[in-house]
Amino acid sequence: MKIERYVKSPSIEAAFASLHEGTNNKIIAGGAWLKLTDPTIDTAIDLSLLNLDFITDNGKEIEIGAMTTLHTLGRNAILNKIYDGILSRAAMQIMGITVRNIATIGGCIMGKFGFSDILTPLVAMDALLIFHQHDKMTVVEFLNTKENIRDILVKVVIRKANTRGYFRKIALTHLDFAVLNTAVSRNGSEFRIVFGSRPGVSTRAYKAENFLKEQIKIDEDVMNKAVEIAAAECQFGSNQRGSAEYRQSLAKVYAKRGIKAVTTNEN
Amino acid sequence: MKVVNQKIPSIDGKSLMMGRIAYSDDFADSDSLVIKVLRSPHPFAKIVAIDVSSASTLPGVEIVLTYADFNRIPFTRAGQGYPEPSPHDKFVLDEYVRYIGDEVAIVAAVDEATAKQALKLINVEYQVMEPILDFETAYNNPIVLHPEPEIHEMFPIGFDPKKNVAAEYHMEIGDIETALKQCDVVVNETYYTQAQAHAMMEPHSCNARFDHLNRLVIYSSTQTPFHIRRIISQALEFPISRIRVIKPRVGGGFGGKQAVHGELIAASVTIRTGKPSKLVYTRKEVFESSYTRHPMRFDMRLGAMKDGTLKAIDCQVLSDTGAYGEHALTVFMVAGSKVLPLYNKVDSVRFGGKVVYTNHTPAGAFRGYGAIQGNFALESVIDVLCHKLQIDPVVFRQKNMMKEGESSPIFAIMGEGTEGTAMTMDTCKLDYCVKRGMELIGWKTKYPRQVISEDLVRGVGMAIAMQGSGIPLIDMGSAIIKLNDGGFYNLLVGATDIGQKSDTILAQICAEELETTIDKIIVTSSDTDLTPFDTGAYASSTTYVSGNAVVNAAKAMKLLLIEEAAKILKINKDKIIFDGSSFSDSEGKIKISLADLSNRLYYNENQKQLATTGSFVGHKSPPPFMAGFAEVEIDIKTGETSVINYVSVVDCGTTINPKLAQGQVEGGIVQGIGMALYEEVNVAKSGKLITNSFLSYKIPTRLEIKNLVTEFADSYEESGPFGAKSVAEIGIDTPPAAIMNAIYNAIGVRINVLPATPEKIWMGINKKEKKL
Amino acid sequence: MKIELTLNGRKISVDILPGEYLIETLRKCNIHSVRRGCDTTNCGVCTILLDGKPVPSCSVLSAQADHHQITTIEGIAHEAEKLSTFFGKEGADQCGYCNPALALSVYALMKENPHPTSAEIDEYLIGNLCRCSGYKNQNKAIMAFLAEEARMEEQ
Repeated sequence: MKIERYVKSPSIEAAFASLHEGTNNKIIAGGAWLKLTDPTIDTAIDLSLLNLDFITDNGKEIEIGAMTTLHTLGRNAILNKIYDGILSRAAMQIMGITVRNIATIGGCIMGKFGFSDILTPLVAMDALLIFHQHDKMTVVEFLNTKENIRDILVKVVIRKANTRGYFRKIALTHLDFAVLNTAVSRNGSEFRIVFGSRPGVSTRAYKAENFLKEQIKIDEDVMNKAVEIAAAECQFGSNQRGSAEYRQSLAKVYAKRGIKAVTTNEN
Repeated sequence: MKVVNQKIPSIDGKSLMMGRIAYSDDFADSDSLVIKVLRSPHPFAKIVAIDVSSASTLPGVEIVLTYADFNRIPFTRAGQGYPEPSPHDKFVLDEYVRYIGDEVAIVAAVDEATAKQALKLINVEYQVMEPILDFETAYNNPIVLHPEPEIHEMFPIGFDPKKNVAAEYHMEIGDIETALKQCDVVVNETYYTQAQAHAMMEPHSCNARFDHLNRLVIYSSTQTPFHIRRIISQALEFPISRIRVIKPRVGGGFGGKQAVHGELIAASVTIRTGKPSKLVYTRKEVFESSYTRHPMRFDMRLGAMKDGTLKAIDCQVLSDTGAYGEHALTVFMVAGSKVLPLYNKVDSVRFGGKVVYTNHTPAGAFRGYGAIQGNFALESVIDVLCHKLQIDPVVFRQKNMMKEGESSPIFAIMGEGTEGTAMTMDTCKLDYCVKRGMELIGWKTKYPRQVISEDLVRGVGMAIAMQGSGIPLIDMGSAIIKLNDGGFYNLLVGATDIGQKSDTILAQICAEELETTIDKIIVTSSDTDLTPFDTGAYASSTTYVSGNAVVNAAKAMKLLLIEEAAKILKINKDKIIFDGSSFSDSEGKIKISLADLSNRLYYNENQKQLATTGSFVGHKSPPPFMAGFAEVEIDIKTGETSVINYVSVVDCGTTINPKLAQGQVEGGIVQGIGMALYEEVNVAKSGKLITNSFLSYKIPTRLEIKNLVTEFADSYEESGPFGAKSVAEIGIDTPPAAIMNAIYNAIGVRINVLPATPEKIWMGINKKEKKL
Repeated sequence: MKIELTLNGRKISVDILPGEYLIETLRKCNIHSVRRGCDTTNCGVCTILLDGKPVPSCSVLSAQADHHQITTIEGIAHEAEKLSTFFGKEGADQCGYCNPALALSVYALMKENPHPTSAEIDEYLIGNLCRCSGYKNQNKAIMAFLAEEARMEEQ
């Protein structure tokens, strides 16, 4: 790893300008995974002076500053309630306290890491990303776009509603990356079924979601059908943490447990 | 007993928690050259050409060394007694590289960045050769991994490098085929164990410099300082009298530091440059380029009668020693010698096999040292047999296992590289351990399984185990006790505290014998100049072997003290009563304190230093025993499994320090749980170790460990110090078998290839469902 | 580049490289208690407190810490010494290599949550790996230490 210059930007505008001064200029979020990517950076841009560490509730929406750490997400009372606290729960299952204290929600999003446990609940919550310059977009749009967005993520917005949520990380040990993570959410009759660490990046099971939306009653039979659809429409791959077959099987089991959880009072 | 068998806090724990200068790298000279090692990217290759000119001339680079800079002196890195039962098949640097991570060249520079940059400037032309990466194809393979003519064995160990055999051994008691034929039931199973990583928290670290007497002084995080001194002298042709090895505090070893790792490299740099140097392994180097546990295959056959009498055990082993043969023979033999005697009433027992070379990271010593591998195989197949016989596995073991006062012919036949030593079990509380373990786990209500919910099933399983207490007639320890003015003592021991807290244990033993308190015993350990000889921290030897040496030294000191007191008090020494702090006659009228006695000895009259030496070598190796009971909970839809309870009941004789003994057992249990469930080793097709960091190699975290119950049997081993046997390794042996047995009892799936990952268990469940 | 740190309550100025990590900078400042265990942010051995929060010093760029407060075990010597007596009682200390880091995490936990359950302790300290102890005696010692500190606090 090599860093030529390090700047603590005094404003978002300055950070944005620094970013565009050179192709090898990069934003340092928390820096938790920086070493693993072994980058060569001309100017490392630090956003810590920009007051992007906040979680606010404006009544309709919850806004999370991009520099908010995972530990803050995990301990936040507002986030602990919305969607049954799936974002907090996911954050608290990532590594140890030391990493949670430096890794930021912005870094987790912008890295588009396949192993991310944060992206999965964010997708399930239809989170909206607000950039400094670029048009706002949903997390799913961001994950799917081929565009290289060289911008500063300012905040993440979650719309408030009467929502339910379920999140599980399946991993060999509690410090490992997930073999698979699964989030299921419900907002009225709208479902989201999301799988992450497949090992590809988090993805939605649209067909299964639509199938569930059309059902009057979510019974055992419907759930079984829905998870078959979900497991068939999403791609699962093999790596050292698990085979595609195993991941697909886990996806069915946990999607069903998730649907059950968000349609009953259990969680 | 006032000091022994007491829960005394360790003598160094406070300083270590407060972050004092303590570990090897803390002692490196601030102007040390920083050493980096160029490592092979190929599993097997010959170095055709190596150009170090650019690296050597890089500003800040002090020296670059390649194989051409070393005389061809084969040695073994294994830290074992001399002559070693390991083949001398390693050179400091060689023109062949035999695994990805093997040493190619050494760079020493003014700082780490420069050394790293220099590594990139070394041009190596390799003749890449086809490797052997499947240990089951290594024997007699046309690819020969060690063709060099200089390598040799020190005495017959079955070394046959032309066939890729590092060691071989066979033995048979009775006639196995006849015995099996006469059995009502015979079972036949194959088991595999993986190349577990030690994963001690402190990476291997050493540093060297010349002192004011122009002697080479090395600090090293090692388990065997005296062996290090000998091996450096032999391999570098440097006078042993000019080498001093100091082992400061060590951040864990578990066998991984029972070998020379960086010491030869740092010594070479300092000898050639005259400058201080240091080498600290990266975590990747610890994984790829130090040691692993020997992976093994076991072909097991058991025969029994319908009434549950075990008649015959056949255990055939293939062991993978990787690129070099360190500990090859002995680890493999322990898989038999410290496992098979558990069932000592059989008509016939056969053990044998080969240890083969492959192009994997070398295997070496690791807590359990073969016994955990063998225990997994034997204690698994015993349960298979029990299910076939439809006998409760506890009842079967109670009928067939070793009892106090009994023996096994195996003890006399199988040693570690040599013949063994006959012994009877003067202490063996296995009966109690099993009975108490059953109560603590709730065997009667929980065996074999409990259905918790639609998805969750719990099962219980168990295994018994034995280990040793040092290697008889080989492992030796010694101690010097010196009386100081003011009436306190120095205890000088060669014994090697690597975090198991042996300095505390030995101080307790010394204080008990001298009837004093632990604060009066100042321990200095593991400095080859200052402390007497000790073979080192391995083979569960320190408490028993070094502990007995301390007892001997302390007994001698007591006699000496009483003699001196008798002279001063002018009464017959038989009449002297010594209570640890003062000497008196039987009426208590004439009296002198220890402090006054010592002050007189050093300042006033007939001045002389009182010091005694004690040595000990075991004539037997009393095994500690234990019963381990696991309760697992399995999600039958996903295969996710956790050990929700682990009960250990241990017979290690007297616990010198019950809390520290518990720590030894529980630390071992958790490493064993790791081997059973989590510590998967992945090697790419190229031979590259994929699991070479803590990101990919998973040791148990505190959330994996739910509940541990650890108890000790009331036991007193006459031959041990204050009745103690060993406790360092026994804890690690049972988890693999006990957990696999519990998984089987829960869901009817038997995992024969470690570790039992959720995916493997899930596949087992699927396979079973398809059959139904 | 030059940065300013408040190291264990003392303001210092250090010359660093822009790509340098705190673990390296602290060595320059003669702090030996912050030790390296892995190179991948997994083991917890190099934990320090940055503005009171435990962070891995192997993964925080020194430049990031400019004008911030850093606490190593030397900065909480009193608490570390007390914790060590509980470790001694439980036989929870073995090789000790990870203990300063663990003590710093326990200290931060105490400030954040003075009355944690055993499960909360596990969750907070999961990133502090230990290969020696089996963890359980550590937890007993930590529980006892926190109970004692809470009792002192109340008095």
